[in-house]
Amino acid sequence: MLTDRQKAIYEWQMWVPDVGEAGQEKLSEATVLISRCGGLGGLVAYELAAAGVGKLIIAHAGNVKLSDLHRQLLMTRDWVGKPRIESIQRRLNELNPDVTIQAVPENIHDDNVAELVSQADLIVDCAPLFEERYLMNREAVRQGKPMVECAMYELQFQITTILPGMSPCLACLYPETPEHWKRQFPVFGAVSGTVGCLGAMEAIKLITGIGEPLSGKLFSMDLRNMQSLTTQIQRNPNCPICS
Amino acid sequence: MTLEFHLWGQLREAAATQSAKLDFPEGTTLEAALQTLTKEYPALKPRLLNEDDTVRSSILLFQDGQQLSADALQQAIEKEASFTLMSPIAGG
Repeated sequence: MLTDRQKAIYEWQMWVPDVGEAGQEKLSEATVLISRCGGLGGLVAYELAAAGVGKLIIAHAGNVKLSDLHRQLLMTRDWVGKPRIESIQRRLNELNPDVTIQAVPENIHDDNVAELVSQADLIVDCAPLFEERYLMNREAVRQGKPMVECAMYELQFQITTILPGMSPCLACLYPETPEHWKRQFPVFGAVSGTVGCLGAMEAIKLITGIGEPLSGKLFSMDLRNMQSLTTQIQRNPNCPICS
Repeated sequence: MTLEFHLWGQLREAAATQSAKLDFPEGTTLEAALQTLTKEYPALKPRLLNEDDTVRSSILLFQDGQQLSADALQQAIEKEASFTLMSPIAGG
């Protein structure tokens, strides 16, 4: 049951058709795993906290660097040199103290991925390294958890939603670790923010059941010229992960 | 026949263009066309092709909004067509 205070906070989004109190209760009962929580994941987490998602599991290692600050909006200048996860937790709790934040001060790896995925209803993959993305994909498929895939480069971004058994998984799309992808790349914070908000909206749609998720579709956009493209993506019948 | 290639991800930056049009004889395979594309835009080659000139498995190929399977690389193209090529990108 929502309290009167919660109803007051969330009433604008509860006015969205097919959301209502029932949709808001679904959000408040949901747990979302976000990894990592930098430029892209930070916006996913911020929007989901604002929307009243009940619990966020955030996995992100390392200390705040100067080069984080242009896009990682949950990091603050006074926290440079200190753990990113503490800045993330503080900023999310300032926004919405009702959200439970499970702060994991490490990135996704082989020893923690199964446990973290098992605690979540869905995953939002915002990691820069394909090794981490493949691990989350493997566990999402194995445990039957939806996963929103967000990616960016320069002024471009891509997003798709993986529904295990129904739509292509990450390994269907990229069977081999991309050799030329590097952790550091050109991007603006407004690009990571744009796709982060789209990723949050995909998560909200999956939790509340409104709209149509980007399952089996890849949405791409180049903000340099506002060119956008929605393409149909296919499952790989020989995929070692999901087939 | 003219084939058009729309580039996304790092391919767009490597070629310094978002699309390219090239003429080919009818019956050219998509893989052969992509090999020719890398001759016109040499910076594309390491991102698009393996060392043996086969197309990297991590490149997404689309025609008319539909993803193409690897089998499509060996099929002959008989008329003008437009393809979209995307290299993998991630978060951060």
